[in-house]
Amino acid sequence: MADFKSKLKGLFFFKEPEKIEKFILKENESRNSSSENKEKDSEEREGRTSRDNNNKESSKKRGVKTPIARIKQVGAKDEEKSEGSDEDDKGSKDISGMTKVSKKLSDNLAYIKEKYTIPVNSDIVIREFNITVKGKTIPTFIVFIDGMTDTKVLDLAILQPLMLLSNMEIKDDDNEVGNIIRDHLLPHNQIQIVTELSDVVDDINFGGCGVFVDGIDKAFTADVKGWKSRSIERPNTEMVIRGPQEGFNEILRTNTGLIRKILKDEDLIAENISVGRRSKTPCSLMYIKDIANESLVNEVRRRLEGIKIDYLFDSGELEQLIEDNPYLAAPQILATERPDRVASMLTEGKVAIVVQGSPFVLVMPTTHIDLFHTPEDSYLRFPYANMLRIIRISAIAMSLLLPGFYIAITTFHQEMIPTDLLFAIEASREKVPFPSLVEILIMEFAFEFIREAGVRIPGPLGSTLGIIGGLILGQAAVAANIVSPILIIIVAVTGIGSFAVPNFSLGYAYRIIKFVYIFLAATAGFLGIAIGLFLQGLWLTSSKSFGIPFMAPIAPVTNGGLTDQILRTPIWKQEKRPDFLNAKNNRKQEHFSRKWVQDDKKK
Amino acid sequence: MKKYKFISFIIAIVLQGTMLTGCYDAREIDDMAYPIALGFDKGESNELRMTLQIAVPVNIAGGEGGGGGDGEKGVTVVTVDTPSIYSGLSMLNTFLSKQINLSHLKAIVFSKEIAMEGVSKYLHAMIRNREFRPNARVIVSRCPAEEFISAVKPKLETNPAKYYELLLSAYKYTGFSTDTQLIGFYHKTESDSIQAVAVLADVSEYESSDEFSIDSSTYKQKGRSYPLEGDFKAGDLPKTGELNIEVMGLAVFNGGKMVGELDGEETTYHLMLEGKFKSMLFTMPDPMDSENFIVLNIMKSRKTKKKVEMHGDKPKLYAKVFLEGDILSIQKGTNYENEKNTPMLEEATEIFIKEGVIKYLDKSINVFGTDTNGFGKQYKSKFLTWNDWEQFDWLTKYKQSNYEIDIDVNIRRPGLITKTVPEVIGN
Amino acid sequence: MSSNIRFGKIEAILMLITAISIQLYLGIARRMVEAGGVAGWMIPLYTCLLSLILFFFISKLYKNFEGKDIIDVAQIAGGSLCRVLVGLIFIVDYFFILSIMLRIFGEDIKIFALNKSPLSFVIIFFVIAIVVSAYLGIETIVRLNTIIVPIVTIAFLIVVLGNVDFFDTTRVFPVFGAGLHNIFVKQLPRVSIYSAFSILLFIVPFIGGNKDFKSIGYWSLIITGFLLSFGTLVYILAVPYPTSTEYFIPYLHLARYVNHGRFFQRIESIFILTWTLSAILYLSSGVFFLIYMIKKTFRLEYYRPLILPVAIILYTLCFIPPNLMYIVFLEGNIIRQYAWIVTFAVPIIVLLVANIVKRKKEGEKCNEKI
Repeated sequence: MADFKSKLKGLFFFKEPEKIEKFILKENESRNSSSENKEKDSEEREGRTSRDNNNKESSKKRGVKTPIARIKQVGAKDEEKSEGSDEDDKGSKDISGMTKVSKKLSDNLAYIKEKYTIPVNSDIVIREFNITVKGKTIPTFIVFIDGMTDTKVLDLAILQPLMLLSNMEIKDDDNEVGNIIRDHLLPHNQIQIVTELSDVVDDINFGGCGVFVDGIDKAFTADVKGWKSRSIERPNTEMVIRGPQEGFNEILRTNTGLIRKILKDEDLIAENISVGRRSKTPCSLMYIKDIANESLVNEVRRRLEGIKIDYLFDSGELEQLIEDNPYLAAPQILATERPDRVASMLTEGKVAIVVQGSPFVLVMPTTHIDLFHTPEDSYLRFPYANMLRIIRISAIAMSLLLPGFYIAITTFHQEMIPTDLLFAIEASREKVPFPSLVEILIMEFAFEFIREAGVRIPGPLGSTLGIIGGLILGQAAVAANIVSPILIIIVAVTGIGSFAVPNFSLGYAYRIIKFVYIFLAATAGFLGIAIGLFLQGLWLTSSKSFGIPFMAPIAPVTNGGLTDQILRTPIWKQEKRPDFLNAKNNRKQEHFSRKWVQDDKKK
Repeated sequence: MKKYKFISFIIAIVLQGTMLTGCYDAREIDDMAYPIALGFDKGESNELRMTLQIAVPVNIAGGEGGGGGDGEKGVTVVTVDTPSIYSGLSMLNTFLSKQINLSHLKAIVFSKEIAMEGVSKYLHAMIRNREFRPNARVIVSRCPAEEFISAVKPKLETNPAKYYELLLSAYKYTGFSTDTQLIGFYHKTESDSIQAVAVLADVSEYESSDEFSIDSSTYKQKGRSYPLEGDFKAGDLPKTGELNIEVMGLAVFNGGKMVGELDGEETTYHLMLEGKFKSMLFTMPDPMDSENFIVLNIMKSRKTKKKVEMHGDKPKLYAKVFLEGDILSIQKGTNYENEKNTPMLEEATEIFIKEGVIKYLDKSINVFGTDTNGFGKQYKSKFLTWNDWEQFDWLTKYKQSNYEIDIDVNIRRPGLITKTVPEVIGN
Repeated sequence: MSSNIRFGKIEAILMLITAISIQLYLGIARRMVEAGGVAGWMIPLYTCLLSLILFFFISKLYKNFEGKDIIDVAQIAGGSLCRVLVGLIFIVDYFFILSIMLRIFGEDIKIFALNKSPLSFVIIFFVIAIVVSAYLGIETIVRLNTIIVPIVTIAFLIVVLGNVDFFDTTRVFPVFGAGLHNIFVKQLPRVSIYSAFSILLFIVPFIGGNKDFKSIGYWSLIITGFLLSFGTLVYILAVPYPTSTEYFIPYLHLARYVNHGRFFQRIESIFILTWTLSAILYLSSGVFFLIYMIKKTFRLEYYRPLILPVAIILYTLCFIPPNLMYIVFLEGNIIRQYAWIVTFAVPIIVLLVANIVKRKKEGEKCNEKI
């Protein structure tokens, strides 16, 4: 009771608001911060690629070769040496306190066994064997998780060479065992030398293989991921007729690869950020370096890094964790299954997040108008695309307002119905015992049942649903005088309208709000609907998606970049990126992109 | 996030508050009765006798989709004697189960008797109420409105509302009635530059075709030896059949008071002068042989030009009517399609129509003295301020008008044949 | 209400247009016809010209006060006393106008849609919308204009086009209607139909500089002048003169007339929808600025605590007038006659004084230097 009182008090009494500065995407990032960022960036990059002396070459190639997640190439050799020699004389020590790879193999083995609770944990495989390097026999073991690794690769590229090749004569003066192993004995394409035990564990958890050799305080990790995954299939939720038919699958690298396949651009950055304290789900933050606004990228990075959660499974969860306004009905981040959609949005200056394990990639910031678009819009010629857009917008309006309008008109504004229709409705309603409101709620709920059941129903039973839904709820309900036939049409059109919403999250949003409009209409007719529209308008215009007004570019009006918003102009007129995104480079194409037309004229 | 808590709180309160207190104006569509026609007669036991023709939707739309409705059963007629319109509605609702909602009213029928007395007081009551649609049609019935409304039994459609709507817009192709929407009628009763007309209607007097007579036709007054199709007023037509009502001619009003009637032909000329004329099938005697007829499909070709000049104290009205026509029938078989004869036919038509218009204008000025054609509107632009115009007192001056009428007819098409070959009769 | 709220020119112009031309949906067409006869359409044009001239003076005087609203200027002109005085004048003015408008909107809805609902029920809807919008702040309200204004414009155009059949050009004659004296001399105070223009004096801090201030002022005045005149002209063309003084809500009648064939008619209920939308838009921006004025005048730190009290006061005030006739009298004969004093006269006086004071101070400084 006291709690309720204080809540009530909180509503009616003014509390001084805390001064929070919310993120607003501004046009001009100050020079300083951006240069700082660049420095940071370049430092990071150096750290990653310093193995080769010719840094420049590698960084050039880096755009094409995807840097692999979680693989950290360790720095110069001398560094390793100096670190290594310190711990030489230490004997075996307490395993639980270990953080670095020990020189003693038994310590490492004990550590791994404790970490993975072996032998209780049955799918962790530890294979112990000996290798011979320059005549010395050294005990070695590898550790990996069965089912996440490709055993063939493991056999061919790790075990076979270590056990067989080590017997061969090595023509190298270097006597360092670690170097010999790395340089001669492990013919695998992705080998890292790691000194931190936690890094080894992370790699193993991610489908890698850890190689521990007695006598050196380094471990090798090899990327032998071989987990099973779906192949690339057609996207299920965003079908197009004209356009690429590839969809994302659950593998991060496949997904980033799919995007890179479309955007062959060395300025496309895929930053790695892992989310989840325990799950350490790898996410890839993608943007085009010289188009995306830096403050936007920083904001997304800040939000991603600021998530404190144990496990993250899907981008749907991530979306809820980083969106601006969890209470807004409409989604503020676009989730898409289509690489081409992500690519085209990246070129506008937006930022994408790919999450390991999710076939949906998040794109942000998103405006309400983006949610009306389908990827097909830009592949079709512009008159067709515009017709589709108009149809879609009216379908969305129908799905939102039609039941409300029906209630408002039939219970408040009967003068609005054409006389013939009025008599038809009245005649069909004559035997229906319910008021229109109850009638429409019954049907709407029935329809929602069918919809939900349609998603959950096991495949073989699918056809039964059609019979139940179509026959029993449609015809029989009318025959039994529970609902009037006109109402079935209303509900059906509403349903079809909501299926025409290209973004299914938005579809959900409007399905919920639809009920609010039904009640408002039942309360005060068109006055209620008008108030509802006004409040919804306020709600949408006041919200932001990553610092961008959600209703941009209508409210507020922005100049330029309006070529592909509500309606679409021909593609050669789409010269600028949307102004509200404040991209670094605002121009998409040259002023006269169809150069050949000019050439024609010259002839 | 606090603001969303606030908003959702407000919305919850609103929803609860309003849902609990009830939806004051909500009326289910089937909780109301929708009259289609409303008739006014002089009441015997009270001021007014009101007749309502109420739609019975179950019979119109056929209930649960099974079988069509029936036009005759589609309506029910109730009559009540009452002091005023709204008190009558209250009285009706004491025995009518459904609340009366007038928003689908299609026709407002005044009996001639009540129209002669003046309809302004009823009009004001209607305009004040939002339920009366501005496009309901005003009809003056020569018989009691009750009788007329009871006689409306549409046969071609199940929906009597559609019957009224279609019947009263037939003037577009018959030229025998006009468009008298309530709002236009109302505006004209209050205007000082144009005066109102209403559609004239009646119940047929003949039960079978044996009883037909043309005694009440107006052809004799026009100096004809036989009646043409326009020489009738509603109720006088020699016709029989299941459809028992007639709509033809106009009731002429001065302000809110009816002052006279026009027959079908005069209605056509009224339409031509006012500018509402669209098209009609027009019959006239053959200029070469008055025993035979020529039938033309006459259409408006351009807007009617009207002008008013003052000659001393008397206004002079100028009007030029532009028409075009297609030949539908030449009974005599004369070759009017010939380029020499066509001008002759055109001229004859012009003269025929001009005579009719002159007779009509004569009646309008001298008999009724009401400017139903809107000549006054043309003269308004000669004044600078409304006061001057009011003092000029057009409607009084109109009664002394002279006129000059010009008709321009062009025969455009002969139909599917280009000339008439005379019939050959063998000996 | 941090000062970094900014909104664009288009939004500001649209807000002013909504605030002023909302009268079209009230009785302005009738009132113009009452005042000027069939020449009523000239009055908005003529008063628009007048207000343009007045605004010219205001903008000239405003040159030295870039980014300051009228209450700030009053502070410069006469210190705190002057600030509170000017603030109170505007606050009383807004309370008066807004409560009357609230009542009229409620009554109108009651008359043509919800006959049986109690007035308090109708008005509570408006009040809720106002409270929520004031809570979300001016930025949202202004932005919402760009969504709602196009919808309302389309609805307005449908009404106008639907009435083309009823147009009769002879209805604008005699050209000068009620007479030149009646139109141009007696209707001088009708410049008050632009009273909502005073909002411009308060959005100064939110817009970019004097250049925007000028163009917003001129454009919104020109567009609304044209709109009001056009709207009145449409009404005059569609409804003959003496009858046109009868109708309480002219545009509702015009919407009822729309009648094309057996199907395209009876659209006035849709009209209610757009009508309500623009009405709330006007009311919410008005109430926001009322609250903003109170905050400014009394130098409060937050405005949100004021929302509920102000809403409740407005809700109470609007029930004071006993009947609709009295309200219509108040709107037509008080607000639309004398509101110009607050909208144009007070700012000009304040600005004049402030200019003089400023010049004096600068002069003193110069003297000191010498």
